[in-house]
Amino acid sequence: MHNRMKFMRAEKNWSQADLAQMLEVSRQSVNAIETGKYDPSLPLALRIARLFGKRVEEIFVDIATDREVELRKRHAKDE
Amino acid sequence: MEREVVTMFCSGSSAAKKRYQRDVTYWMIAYVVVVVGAALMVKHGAPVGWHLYFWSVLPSIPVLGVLWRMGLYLREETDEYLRWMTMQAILVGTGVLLAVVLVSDFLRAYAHIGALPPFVAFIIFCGGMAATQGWQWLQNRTTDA
Repeated sequence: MHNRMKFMRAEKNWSQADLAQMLEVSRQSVNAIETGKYDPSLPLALRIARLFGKRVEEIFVDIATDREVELRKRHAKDE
Repeated sequence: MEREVVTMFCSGSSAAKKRYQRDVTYWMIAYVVVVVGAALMVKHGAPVGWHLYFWSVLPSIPVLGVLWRMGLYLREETDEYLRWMTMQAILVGTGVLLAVVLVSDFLRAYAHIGALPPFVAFIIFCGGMAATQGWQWLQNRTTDA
C-alpha cells in the first residue's frame, strides 16, 4: 500500500520525531509506515488521518483499487 | 548534524519495552544463579529421588519467567510496529528452534547421532530472536528525513 504521509509531513514541516510524538508511537513506526514497510492498523490510520485533517483514503492508497478505478474509467470511455 | 547522528538509528524503545528489558535482565540473573546453584547442588549434594528432580527442573523456572514476560510485553506494548517486530522475532526464534530439534530428532532416529547437548534449546531460540532483531535494526536505520 502506498501512502502520502512523507509528503504531507513535509508540507507541515514536521520531522518524523515530531509526528511520532503527536501519534504517541515510536519514530521507527513512522519511518516504517512512510517507507511502506509496514501498513498501520485501522485505528492508527484513523489517528494519522485525523492529525492531518484528511480522510484515510487521501493518505493511504491501495494500488490495486487505484488500478481498478482507472480501468473502469477507461472501460466507461470506450463504451 | 548532531541531530542526524542521534537519529541515524531509530530508537525502538517504549516504556513497555524498557520495563520488559529490565525484568528480563532480572530473570537472566536469576537464571545464572539458579543454574550455578543447581549444578553445585547436584555435583556436591548428590541428591536422589524427588530432590534430584527438583534441582533438575529448578533452572527452567527463570527461563519460563522470561517467556511469560515476553507474553506480558506483547500485551503491554501500545506501539503496534514494535509489537509486530517482537512477534516476528519470537516467531523466527521458535521456528529456528523447532527446525533444529526436528532435524536432530531424525538424525537421532535414523543415523543414531546423539541428542543435542543440554542448555542449547533456549540459546538457539535466543539466537534466532537476536538474529531477527539485528536484521530489523539494519532495516530501520534511517536519518530523520
